[in-house]
Amino acid sequence: MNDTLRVPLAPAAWSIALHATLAGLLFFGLNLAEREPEQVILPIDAVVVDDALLQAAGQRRRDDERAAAQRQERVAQEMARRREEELQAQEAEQQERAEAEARVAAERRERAEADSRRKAAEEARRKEEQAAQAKAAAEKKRLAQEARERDAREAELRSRLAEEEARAGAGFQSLKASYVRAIQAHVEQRWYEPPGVAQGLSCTIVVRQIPGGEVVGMKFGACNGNAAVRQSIETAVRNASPLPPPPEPSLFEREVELVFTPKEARSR
Amino acid sequence: MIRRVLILAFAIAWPAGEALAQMTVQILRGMAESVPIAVVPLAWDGTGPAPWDVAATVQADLERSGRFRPLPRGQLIEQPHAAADVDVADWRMLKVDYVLVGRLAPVAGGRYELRYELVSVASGERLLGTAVPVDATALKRASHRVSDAVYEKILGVRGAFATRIAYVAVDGPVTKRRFRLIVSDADGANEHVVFESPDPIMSPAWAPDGRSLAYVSFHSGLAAIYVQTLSTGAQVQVSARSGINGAPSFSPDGQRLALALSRRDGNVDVYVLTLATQQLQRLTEDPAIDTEPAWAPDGRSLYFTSDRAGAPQVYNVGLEAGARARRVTFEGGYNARPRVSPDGRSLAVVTLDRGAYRIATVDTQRGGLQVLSGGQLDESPTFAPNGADILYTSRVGGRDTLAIVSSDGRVQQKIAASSGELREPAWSPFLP
Repeated sequence: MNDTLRVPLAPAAWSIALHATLAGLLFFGLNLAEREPEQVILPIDAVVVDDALLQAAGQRRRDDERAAAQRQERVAQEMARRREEELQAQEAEQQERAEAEARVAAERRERAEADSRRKAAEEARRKEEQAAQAKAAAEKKRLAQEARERDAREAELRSRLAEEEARAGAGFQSLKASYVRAIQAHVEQRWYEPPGVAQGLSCTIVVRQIPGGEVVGMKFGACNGNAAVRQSIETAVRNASPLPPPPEPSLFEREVELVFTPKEARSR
Repeated sequence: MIRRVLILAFAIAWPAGEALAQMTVQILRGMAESVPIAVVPLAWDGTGPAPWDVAATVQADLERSGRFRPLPRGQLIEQPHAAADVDVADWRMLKVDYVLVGRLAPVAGGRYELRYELVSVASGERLLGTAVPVDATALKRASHRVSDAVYEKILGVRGAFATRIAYVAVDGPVTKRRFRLIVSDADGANEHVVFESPDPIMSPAWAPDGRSLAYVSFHSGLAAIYVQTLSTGAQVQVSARSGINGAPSFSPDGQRLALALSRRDGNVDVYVLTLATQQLQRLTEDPAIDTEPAWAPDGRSLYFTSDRAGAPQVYNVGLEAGARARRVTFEGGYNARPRVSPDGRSLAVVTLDRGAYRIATVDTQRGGLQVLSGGQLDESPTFAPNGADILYTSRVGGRDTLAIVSSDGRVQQKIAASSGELREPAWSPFLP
């Protein structure tokens, strides 16, 4: 691109120098032409006096005419040349103008190009910025998303933890339930249910055990059973000692309430 | 002894009003099949051999009830004769819940003193401590009474070991049949023939005082109802009306007899006969057969069998004039021969259960039916006076024998028949 810019500059410089030279020559030439008529007037006065002189004067006139013609020719030539020069100058000027215009255009173009480049750059930058912004936004979004996902994951984790805790609780409950069932089966296997007690019997006995399951005490609560029923329950509880161990040590209960509520008479 | 003191100390060491237990366990059924007990042979304080092995009788009673599991005598590690000498820790190791100990001593007049004590191994408590005078001839009965006392103390239900049963024994070739009305102890021992005939004897029923039996006999050629006093053998004909005279049943007060009569019209219905006046009250009047009356314990209504609905079912009718019969059994296509439990809460009936006739109980309030026996042809149920067991006949190998099922269905047992067929048992009331 620089090469194309430099080339039109040299002709322009030459054109300026040529114009200056031509202008100088024209100025001095015009000055000479104006001074010469004053010099011509003086010889005319001398010819009028002598024939020879006349002849000489004629000669001189002819010479002068020739000289004038030559001068005129020279002037014409000069004028033509000047016109030529002028034309050339005009052309040069035109060219120069064209060149200048071209230059301007080039400059404009260049500017435009620069502009467009700038614009492009700006655009690019803008785009870049936009991209950056978009990227930033995207990043932000991503981060937000990540944050959200993290939050969600954490929430999920938390909920899972809570769930697991709940499950652990449920596990605890089920362990406790299995402990209850174990004690139930253990006592039921040792309880001889007196005949005819199923009708509405409800008998509560609180049993105190020590770790290891040994029954160290028992106390009847509400009980609508007769002495034999109480006897049978007491015997069952005594025989149930040691009670089965809990599936988990923390489930151990020092006091266990046994509620004897037999169902309807069993069928065969 | 030390152990017992410790156990009691625990109970004392636990003051009342403490915080409630954190864990509640529901006990919904007793799975233990029977109660382990040690019956220690009684000490005999006289000279020579003991006149009766009281412990052996008690052991047999308890074992036969199905509700106890007496330790075989050979496994008794020690033989204390007083509660104070019972080391509960030792018996606990043998997994025995109760220990019965005692002694028999001769006293003046050829009588004996029977002392016995029952100890709970669980608590170390002495649950029974009794001394009774016994006639020389009543040692077996006294032994049954010990069984009754142990049974009641441990199970909360009065024992029925010292009761009797009546039944009809049939034997001999078809051309020379022999019908005997027999009364024996509840364990089948000690049989006495009350009445004997080549003609059928049917439907024995105990008077509420246990002193007499009503029954149907054909020995006069026609069906007639008799009441016979056991101690004297005196037989009184109470109904020999034309047609059917059947299924006598004493009222709870013993003054009346419910029975089935066809009379002249041939329509079998339920009547109530006042024994002292021979006054007859007709309770049902239905073209269908109404028979096998059984008194409710309060004496205010009768249960009976009727096929008025097409097939035999059990109905109840009040004794008041104009009372309408109310159907009681609805489960199954055949329910007959009702007998009422002593508490009036249930009926024992013969039910058609999957092609077989079996003994079942029916809840008189709620109507629920529970099949108890498992034979093919089980008949004639009769409640023990404590309501705990039902005696019935069961045809096994073409022969009727006696069997017992507990009224909760848990325990079944057979009573060996000496000979012939044993029919229509009737369990006595509690005897004095």
